[in-house]
Amino acid sequence: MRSVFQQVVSSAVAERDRLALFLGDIGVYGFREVLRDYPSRAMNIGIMEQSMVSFAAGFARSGFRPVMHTIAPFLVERGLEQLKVDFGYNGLGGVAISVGAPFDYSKLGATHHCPGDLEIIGSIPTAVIKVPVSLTSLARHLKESLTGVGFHYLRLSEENVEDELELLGITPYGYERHKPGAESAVVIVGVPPKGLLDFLLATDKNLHILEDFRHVGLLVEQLIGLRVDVIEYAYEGSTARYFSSLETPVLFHGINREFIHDYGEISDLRKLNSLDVASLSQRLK
Amino acid sequence: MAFTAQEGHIPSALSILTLVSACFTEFKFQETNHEFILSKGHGCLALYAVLANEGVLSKNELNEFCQFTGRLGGHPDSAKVPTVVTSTGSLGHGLPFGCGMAAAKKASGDGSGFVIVLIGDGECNEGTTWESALLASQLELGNLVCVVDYNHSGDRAIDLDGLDRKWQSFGWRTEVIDGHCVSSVKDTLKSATISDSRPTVVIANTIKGKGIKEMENNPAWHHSKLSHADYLKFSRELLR
Repeated sequence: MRSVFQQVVSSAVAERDRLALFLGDIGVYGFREVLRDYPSRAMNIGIMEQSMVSFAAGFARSGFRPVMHTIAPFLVERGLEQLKVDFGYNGLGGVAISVGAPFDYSKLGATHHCPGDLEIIGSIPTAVIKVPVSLTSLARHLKESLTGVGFHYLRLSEENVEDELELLGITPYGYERHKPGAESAVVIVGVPPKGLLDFLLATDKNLHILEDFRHVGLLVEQLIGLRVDVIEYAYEGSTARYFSSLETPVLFHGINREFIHDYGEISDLRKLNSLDVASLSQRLK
Repeated sequence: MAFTAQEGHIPSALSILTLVSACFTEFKFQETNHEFILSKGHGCLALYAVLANEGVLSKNELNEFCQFTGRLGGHPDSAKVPTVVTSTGSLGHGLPFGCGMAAAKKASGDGSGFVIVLIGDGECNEGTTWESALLASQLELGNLVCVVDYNHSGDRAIDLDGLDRKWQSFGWRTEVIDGHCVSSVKDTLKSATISDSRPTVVIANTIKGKGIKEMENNPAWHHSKLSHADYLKFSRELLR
């Protein structure tokens, strides 16, 4: 996803003189040409995430649409008060783009994990949240956010399921597959492991992938009367409030609310949280 | 305002009243593309008084300070008062925000206008203040002026002895003045706009609660309510 992000944002900075890019010393090599060609509005601010967010808000107040980028915990958790006040409370627009949530830096420990990003950003009333699962949808969501209004948060992921979406339809909120006569549905938030979509497509459940939280209402309408399982690549229950109007049972399968002291691959941490294909295929029976 | 509302940080406002007033007189924010940020938002009583004096707010509106239907809160809200560039109250936000505005002026090509940010000495404890000091210097934001209301209220936590040298070491042009001397403040603000690639910090020595002896440098009054007797007594003292 990082290369798509770099391509889309680099082109946009070159095309629009009111777009600004600020990096927290991450992704600098990928953006080297933009940083060189547009130094007055494309900058590596360094490792001062809180100031980077306020600085970006100052650009927003001056008529620019700023993009801020760094690793998820440093942008979302360290910069939260600045995102809340300087963008949210002020009603300013900008695009915060994280990388690494929930535990993509699986070998680096919990300092670099951010399973709380969705509910933390969701605490800012004006925030638009997007969690793309494919390269195609990432490009679409990015372009819309870069030209849009308001404060947007996009989560970039290390993995994607671009090649597993063929049988799903595109909706305003993400992707869907309806099965005639289905009595239950599965909703996925965040990039699922390879093979999970294939497993779910073989069941008689409806399947939905939530990428753009603005349109979650459309999704919830389709869940009425069904048993629902929500798979969250985020802390378990992060998205619970969006489904609270449903009268039928809704079960959440997310990341345990514990610090992870283990390392290894992303797949190891998914398994640790029973969010791998084998565990989920048992849990969703 | 503070008596009617039974709210407000009176000593903090008295500490910066001359500074805010001089900033508005010198920079005429209503008519120019200069910008003013009151980063120490709790001193907003001074800002509201100056805005009323400038005709931006009606004097009647001051009586609605902190009232449910009023626009003027205990910290300034940009959504309610258009003159307020950014909502403040959380210390440490104004200077990096102002750096962004100053850099945006340069990026816009026009580049005209200054950004004035008023912070407190307690705010010099915030990491974002020093991050911004680094950043502004690196970006050569000569169109940025930071005024530090140095009333020593933060000394009980961290003594900022040699504050001017600290800013100098970050590459800032530094002025130290009496923050209650109108001519000194005005002259210094004027000289801060002389072309220089360095950002300027004006360290204004002030007295918290200036003008009311009982309040001056008395931390007990930081966020205290006025009784009717206090109100009458302090009003007489200020009007003398």
